Amino acid sequence: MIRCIDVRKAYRQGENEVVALAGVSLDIPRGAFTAIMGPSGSGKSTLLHLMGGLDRPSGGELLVDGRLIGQMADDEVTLFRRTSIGFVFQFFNLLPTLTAWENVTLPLVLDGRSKAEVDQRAALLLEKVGLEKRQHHLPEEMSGGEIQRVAIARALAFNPPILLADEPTGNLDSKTGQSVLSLLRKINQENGSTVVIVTHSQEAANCADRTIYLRDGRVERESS
Amino acid sequence: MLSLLRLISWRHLRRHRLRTLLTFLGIALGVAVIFAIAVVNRSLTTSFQSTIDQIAGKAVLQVANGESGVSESLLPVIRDTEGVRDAAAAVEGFLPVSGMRGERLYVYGVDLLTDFAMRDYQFIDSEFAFDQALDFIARPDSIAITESFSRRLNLPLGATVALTTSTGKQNYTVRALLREQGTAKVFGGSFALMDLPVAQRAFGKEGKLDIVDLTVEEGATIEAVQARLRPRLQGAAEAERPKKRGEQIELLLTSFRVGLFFVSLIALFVGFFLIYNTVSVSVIQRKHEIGTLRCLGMRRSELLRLIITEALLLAVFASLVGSFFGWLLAQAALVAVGETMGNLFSLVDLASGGFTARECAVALGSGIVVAVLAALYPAWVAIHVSPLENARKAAWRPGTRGKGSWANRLGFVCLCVSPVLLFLAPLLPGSIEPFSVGVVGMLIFLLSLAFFCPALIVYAVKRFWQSSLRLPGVSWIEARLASDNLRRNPARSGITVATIVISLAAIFTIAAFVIASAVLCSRGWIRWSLRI
Repeated sequence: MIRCIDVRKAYRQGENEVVALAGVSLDIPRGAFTAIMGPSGSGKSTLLHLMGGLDRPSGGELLVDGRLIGQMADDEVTLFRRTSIGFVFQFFNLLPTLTAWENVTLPLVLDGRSKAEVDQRAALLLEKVGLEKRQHHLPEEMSGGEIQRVAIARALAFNPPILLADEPTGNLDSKTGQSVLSLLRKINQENGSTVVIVTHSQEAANCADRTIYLRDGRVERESS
Repeated sequence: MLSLLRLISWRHLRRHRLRTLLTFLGIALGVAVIFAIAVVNRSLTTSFQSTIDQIAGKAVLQVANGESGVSESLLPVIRDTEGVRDAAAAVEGFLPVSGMRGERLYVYGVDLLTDFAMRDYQFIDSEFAFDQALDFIARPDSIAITESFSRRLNLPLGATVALTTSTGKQNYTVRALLREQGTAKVFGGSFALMDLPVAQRAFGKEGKLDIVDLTVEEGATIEAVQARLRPRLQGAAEAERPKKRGEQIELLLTSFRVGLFFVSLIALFVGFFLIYNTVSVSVIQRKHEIGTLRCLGMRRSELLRLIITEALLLAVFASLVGSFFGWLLAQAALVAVGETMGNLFSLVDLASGGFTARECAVALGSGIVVAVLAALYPAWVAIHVSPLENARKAAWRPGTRGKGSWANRLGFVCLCVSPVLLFLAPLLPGSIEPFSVGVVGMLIFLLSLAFFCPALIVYAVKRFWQSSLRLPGVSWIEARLASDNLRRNPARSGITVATIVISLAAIFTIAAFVIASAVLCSRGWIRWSLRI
């Protein structure tokens, strides 16, 4: 499903070059629940961003769902993100001016889907994350756990084959974090989605089938 | 697109009501100024032209010789020229009404017996029969005034009106009242008829005529009569069509109109910066939102369309409101211009403050085009926001990077071009070209200041930190934080400062223009149109 072959990423900071990934090679099969761990600056978020087409690798090959994501044109990768990848972030990144319902509908609206389809899908997704009664609330009126559930519902708008989560529990208390992880696990099992989470938390990594440890931009070790 | 506008743009604009309102007002104000100026421009030109037409009456040719006038001895020569049917001589000018501050009469001295063939005068109550005309001519203190002037100054038939003439205060007796029709309509009814010799004495123009209006016989062409007159006048006067005089006045008014056009341009300039500033700030504020949208799969073209449509819709509504206020402003401006002209010379009939489809289209179009142009660069910045902004928490710094940035380079180019234009302007021929080039030079200079603002802010803040200057009532740390905020985003701060600079410049320009240029142009017009 996701194949990294000697993936490298370097940034320029003024005169200096900062190497975030120094050649990562790994395979994540379809339907797997994978955790990526490592200390700060190890390159785990960078790797997740590359997998999601949010950034482009400086070298190597990155195949996502059989496509070389680093070589796609901007429009192509954007549409790929829209329909094939769901993102969940540590800081939720919901639009603060939109209600839970509207946030969930946003990817579908962007895709120009009909109102009936949008409404039906949003209702289904909010029910799935257990927030059907909070659908008309703004993010500021909801708890962190609820907001993250809305973000997950939004990520599932197109029932994408890949769900990428960057520290999904990093901003939540342990109990709420556990419920969010359970939800991700449930989605992985019910939808057959490939889930990749980046985390600092061993507890979160324990939910995954496999954990990849990064250090200094390289894969240090793996555990199942 | 509509769903996105409703979901994203509308919510954002509603959340930032004050800023939206300020932008809305900025566009509306710019459009209002353009609209009002267009209406006032047209009204002034139409009124001036209509005054010329009313005074010219049925004349197809006019013999005149500028300020020097035409010698009365030429009148028989003109009259006897082959093809001339009627020749009506006149002297004209303003005479102040003694004891009535600010009141002036536009006195038209004519040979009543011949002038009836040229111009249409309607008298009140009775027909001004031949005998009455003779009686009017026979008495050297006769004057005919309009009904409205008579009513305003309480001067019924038989009343005496004192005018300040070239020989001092003279009393005249009102022997006829004119309806405000035809020629008598000019200058809001502050019009009087006198017999030619009486008027010549009043103006100190004995033996001189200001103008001789001509009609031609049936079958004779105007060009042929004009050609026959040329050698007979021997250069002592020139025969021209009234239309030609209108064109000359049109030319004179052009400087006034060009001036007003540049005032509109400055209003647009200010509007441009306001919109640019607002959209830029909006993009900066929405950086995370834009990053989220890009992350969720919004293409750059869709984002560009959204931001431009947002600006476009705001501009359309603001322009519509601006047009309405522009029309109101035009009404007020016409009253003010009318009063100014009245104070300077005499009452002027300004054309009604209605508007044409063209004026409306120009105002709306200007507002919309400027709004879209101003939104283009911030929109370009927005579409280059990385979807990673969605994940980042670091501060985002757009735009200028101090020394050597594109803003400084553009500022330098403008600074080089501007003095060239300003020095070149007075050397150009004509009256419009120097003015236009000068104003363009000034606008480019303002633009250079705008481009240099970010660098100037960075420099000023640096100097402030190095100095021991303390602001009263502000602690050092507060001042440091505030100035640091300016320095951290010089492009945004620069736009705000540039907007203030240009707005202030616009206020001074408009004030200077209105006080100096308008008065000078109007004086020129009066001399040109009435004394030639």
